[in-house]
Amino acid sequence: MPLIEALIIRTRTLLRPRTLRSGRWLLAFVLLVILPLVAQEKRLSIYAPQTFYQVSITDHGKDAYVGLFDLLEPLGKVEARVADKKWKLSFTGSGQPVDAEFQDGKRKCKIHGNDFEMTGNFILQGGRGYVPVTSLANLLPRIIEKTLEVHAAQRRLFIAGVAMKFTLDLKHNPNRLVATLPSPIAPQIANDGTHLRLTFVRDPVIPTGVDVYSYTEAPFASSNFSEANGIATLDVVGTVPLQASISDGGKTLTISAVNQQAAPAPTTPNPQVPSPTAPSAGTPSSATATVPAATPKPRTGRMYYVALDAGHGGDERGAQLTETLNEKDVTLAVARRIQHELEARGITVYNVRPGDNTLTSDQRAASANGSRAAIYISVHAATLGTGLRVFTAMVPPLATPNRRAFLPWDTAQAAYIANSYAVAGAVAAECNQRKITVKSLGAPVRPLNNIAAAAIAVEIAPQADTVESITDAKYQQDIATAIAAGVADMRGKLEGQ
Amino acid sequence: MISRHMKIAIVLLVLLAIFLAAYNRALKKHAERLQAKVADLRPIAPPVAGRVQNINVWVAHDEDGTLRKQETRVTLPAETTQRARLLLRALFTIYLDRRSPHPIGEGSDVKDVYLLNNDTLVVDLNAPFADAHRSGVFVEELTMLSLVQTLATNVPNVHQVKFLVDGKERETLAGHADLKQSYDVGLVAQSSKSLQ
Repeated sequence: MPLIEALIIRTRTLLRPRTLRSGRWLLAFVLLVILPLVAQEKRLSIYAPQTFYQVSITDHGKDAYVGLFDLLEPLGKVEARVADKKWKLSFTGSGQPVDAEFQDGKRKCKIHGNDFEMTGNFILQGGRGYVPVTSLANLLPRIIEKTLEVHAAQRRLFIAGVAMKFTLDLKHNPNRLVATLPSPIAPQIANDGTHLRLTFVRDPVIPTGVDVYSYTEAPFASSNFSEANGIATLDVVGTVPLQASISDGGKTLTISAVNQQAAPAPTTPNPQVPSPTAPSAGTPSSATATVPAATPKPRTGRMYYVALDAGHGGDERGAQLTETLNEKDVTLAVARRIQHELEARGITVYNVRPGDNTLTSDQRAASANGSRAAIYISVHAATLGTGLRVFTAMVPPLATPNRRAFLPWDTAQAAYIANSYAVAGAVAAECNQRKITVKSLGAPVRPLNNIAAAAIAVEIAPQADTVESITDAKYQQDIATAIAAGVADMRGKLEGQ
Repeated sequence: MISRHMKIAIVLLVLLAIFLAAYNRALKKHAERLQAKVADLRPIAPPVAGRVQNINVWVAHDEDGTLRKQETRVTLPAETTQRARLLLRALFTIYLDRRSPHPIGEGSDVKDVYLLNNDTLVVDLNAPFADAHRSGVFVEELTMLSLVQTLATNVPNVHQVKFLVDGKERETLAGHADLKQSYDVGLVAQSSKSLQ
């Protein structure tokens, strides 16, 4: 699996003596948390013009299935209800609402009154509807009324022509490989000597058809572009150490030999190689970001992005809000709204739980810490009370917080609690401005204490006396907007800390 | 033509049916009352040697999301762990009442309380308390703060409180409130202030 190979490359780098001390925590994180996750999780990556997200794939018999509600929710307004064995769905995207009706155990369904046959039976489980991944190419365009390109085996889905064909051109004087794309990209870059790997998680790049090249001109030996399990990977092998640089606002990728004079010993790690879980930024912060194989450049601050954690998920349903509504579904819906709002404000979001998967508190904290986000937001929902509650950890602030020292896991938040109070205050202020009932207080909620960044947990309660109002789209949107505005207000204070 | 005797017999049978239905209903109600008594699993505290005292417990109120002091009369021994256990039982009695301002699961009880280093109380709660607790950050926080604040107010020199469930560590109360870590009495008092 390409991602596992990338992790192994990263692991080797960390095992070098000079990096062993600083990289030990990351190595443990990779081995204990990421590898098991990667081995278990199957995800479908969806690339749409307005967003990128992933949903979990579950196996039913020999076929791979995906939850249709999870798939459609980020693309528009979705409503679903169960009547007898039928699952009735209403989707409103940019145009008129589209109604669809599915029946448990049947291939045939109705979309906008027209019959449609899927490649496998529809499955209704716990009020959620699942459809075969192989049906999506024909099923989804009928619902969202947009063109679709599906790479089913590779688990990637491109909506409304967002896919970008990726070609590497060999240019001379000096020899270099150049890819020019219509939209900015931000791959994760890792290297091990002469092997350079670029991993495209959020970038909708696709191969042109011929994916493996052999080069006769130095410094390149071969390149291989591949797609698997929702990500694309470019491997370039050279005869000397290689470097990758991104320029032209993220639209041009250049791979060339490392400038040997500027580079110190080749065993030095690449400090800018993101950790395995680190999200790629939506837009590079500078015009040219160079990531050579061996250029030690100490990190001076954090990029301003947010780790967004939809509470519960998978087997862990959270609170039972109504007979048919679980907390995990509301948290995911609200988290996606917050993500849209943050991205609209130019803030990149790292999704700790992008789909319906089970994560322990420690896995969530490890994932968020590994991403090195500036702010962590845990999203919860409850029926008690009304409005929004904003929680910060219950840890005593340190008199002289030292964030470069090794932080104890149980009290990692202590070094950041002042920033957490500030973020909670900013979110509460935005809620007050929008006349949303808000309460801000300390709470012993997991995993806030383990987060090495400004961290808050938000709990959404119903708008009025009726519990159902918690699913009201406008209400959720108002809250998401207030949270995103509060986080955006903190940018000036937290960026680069 | 139905004979007169037949008519009388039918009327008597209808009356008998009505009487039996009423009798059946009365029996059912009686059985339900008995069942409710059996299902009342509220702990029966053993007799305690101690002084009857008026104490303040901190009671969570779901209606407005507050913690309020409430005076109650309890027989309290001088020994710290027994005292702590009875304090929490007094609080549970309020929460288990039919008109509880913050209901908890039936059968909730404090199994035992231990004292470590003269400043840390380890409270062992039973499984029904945690298993039947409502899930939510705030509702769980209200419970935990009321327990810790009640102990802090009535047991002198307690700085930390740690909770176990059925003698074992548990990650959260009902999915949110942290039970892995000890509760610092000072921090809890600080958080509680915003709820009073």
